[in-house]
Amino acid sequence: MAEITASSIDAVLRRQLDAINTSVESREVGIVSQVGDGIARIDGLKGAMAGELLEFVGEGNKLVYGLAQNLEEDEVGAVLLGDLTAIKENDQVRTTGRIVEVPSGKDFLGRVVNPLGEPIDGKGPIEAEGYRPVEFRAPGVVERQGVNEPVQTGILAIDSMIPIGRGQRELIIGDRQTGKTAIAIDTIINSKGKDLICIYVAIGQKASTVAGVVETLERFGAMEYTIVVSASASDTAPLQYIAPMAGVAMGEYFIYNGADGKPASKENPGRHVLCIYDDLSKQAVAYRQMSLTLRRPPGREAYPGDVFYLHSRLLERAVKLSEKNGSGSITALPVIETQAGDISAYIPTNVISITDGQIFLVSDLFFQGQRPAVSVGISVSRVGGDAQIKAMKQVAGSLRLDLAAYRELQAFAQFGSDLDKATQNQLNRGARMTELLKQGRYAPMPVEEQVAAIFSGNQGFLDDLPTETVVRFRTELLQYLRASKADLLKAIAEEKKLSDEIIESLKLAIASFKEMFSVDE
Amino acid sequence: MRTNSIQLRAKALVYAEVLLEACKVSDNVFAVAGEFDDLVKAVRGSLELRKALKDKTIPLEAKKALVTELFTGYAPELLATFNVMVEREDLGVLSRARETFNTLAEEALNAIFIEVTTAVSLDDELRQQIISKYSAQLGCGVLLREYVDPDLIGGIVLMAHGKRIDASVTSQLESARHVLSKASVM
Repeated sequence: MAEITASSIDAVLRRQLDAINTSVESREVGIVSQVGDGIARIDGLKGAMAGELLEFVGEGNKLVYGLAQNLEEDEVGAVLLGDLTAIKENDQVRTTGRIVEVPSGKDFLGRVVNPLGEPIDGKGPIEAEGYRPVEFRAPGVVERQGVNEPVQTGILAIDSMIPIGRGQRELIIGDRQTGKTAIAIDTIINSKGKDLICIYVAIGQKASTVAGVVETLERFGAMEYTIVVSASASDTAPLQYIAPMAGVAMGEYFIYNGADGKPASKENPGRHVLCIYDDLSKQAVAYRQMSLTLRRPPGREAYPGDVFYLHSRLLERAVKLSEKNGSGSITALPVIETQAGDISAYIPTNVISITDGQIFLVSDLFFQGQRPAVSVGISVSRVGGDAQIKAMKQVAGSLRLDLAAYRELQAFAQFGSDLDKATQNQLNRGARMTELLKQGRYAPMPVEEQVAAIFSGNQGFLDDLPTETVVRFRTELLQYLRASKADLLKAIAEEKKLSDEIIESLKLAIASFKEMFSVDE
Repeated sequence: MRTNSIQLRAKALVYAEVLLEACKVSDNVFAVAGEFDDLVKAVRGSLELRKALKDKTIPLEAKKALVTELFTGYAPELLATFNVMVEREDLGVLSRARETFNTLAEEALNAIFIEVTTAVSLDDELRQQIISKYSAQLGCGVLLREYVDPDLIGGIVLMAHGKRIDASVTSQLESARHVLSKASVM
């Protein structure tokens, strides 16, 4: 830390005093004509801009901020972002000439903040390195490049069959209690040491749930590269509405600036960010509440007409920037909660159509003990394959089709007892591969271990094992490889492909482990 | 979102024009403009008053008596216009009527109405200085509506047509506080 001297204090004071603006302040003002339900109607403010930050002067000159939403002929409809009770009719409202901005920077990592960037974890103030607008136009075509780097979730079923790339938008969708948040948290935990800044945006959740997530992340040492933005169920609808946009704005600071805080470029690369919006259904509900109280006409399911645009402009901010712009990326993992598996409801269909794929979680699978309860048949990743490492492509290339064929046969086999040998083999293999994909919470697997695990299934090492021992076999095999064949795992991780030599060594290693493996515990 | 804005605008214009004609006769246009502002503020600031004036179970005579009692000393033209609004359940256009009236009144008087707030009352010299400065700048007459707010400490705040020019000591101090609160020695 630099020494504080009298001369440095003097210099700072002079600089600050010079910065004091002694000119006359000129602003447009209006008067609150109606206030209630977090909404204020303001007479005047003819020059207000859509989305402009408004300053409400409440009792005792208390400042409360609001967001201009409805610009009408003689009045403005605004949503209040602060203390609703401090504002009453006849209070003065001023325009600020700027839109809502949130602070961001390295010091935000490891902290829990509200959607305005104010700390809510009791760890003191945060010094911002910069500010980013909450509403920001997504980069255009020329500023981007195709997705070409993977985000490793550490979840076997996802990384093998539904791979996610940096800059992709992959929806996590399912009923309540199917493990949606678990996938998000596992991905954050697995991102340790992978040059990925994670932003977890909790929207409309119980504060205790958010506290639980933070505690988990701290336990696994994941908070040091994570920012948690929380607009809990007790926060106002406008705060829940801006929360995901505030989260991505904090993330944008990292992709548009290099590690030195200067603008990103080819020489000063931007960083990689993962944004999780948990969940956008609740944001849509908050936006519906705001819109109805602003008297906007309701549409399908009483959502306003622009709810699609709300989500599309948010998710369009997920990006893989071109080399010239620093190659930074924002990967978006929006979460949508369905009701009784109904994906044809308004918000799920909207977000499915916006994203580059979806991970479907199904209650039935969850209760059958298949966890993560990913329904492989209807889950898809449209661009992630380009980012998958070659080794994974080699082992998991046909896994999805094999499992689809297995499910079809399984349904068919229920009706008949006599099956030919080939069909029986296919059923056996399918059952073991399905079992192989089971994975506990907070137990992410590095990609080289995933490759080895799937390889053992593909090569038929599991075929003669009882199904219930498959997970134990995988766990012990990986322990064996880590302990005795670390070079092999390292070679897969570094070469990123399975050369003939690696394939042979892997086969030998698995075979020698299998000889030691005891079916009975 | 209102869908009948043309109708509302027309109604507001009728009320404003009738009131203006009445005020011209009694030559108190500027005074009524100020009273109209106060009346709108009072109605806007009191939920009970708005409820009472809209309550269909309260007889019209009782409402008129209430208005007369609450706004004692206000110009009779203004109160008569307001009573018609209450009778015809047109309180929704009150704010718009006030704004239209202000615009028409400024045109009729060829002057701009400026609200001036100072920490102490204006003396004649300062008042004259403000009038002559803004008359020259705006190219028309200027009529001042004066308010005193000791919280300003010093300086002046001017407001006209939704624009607020703040040259008060309080705002300068607030600006200084804002800058210094972000000061860092590092």
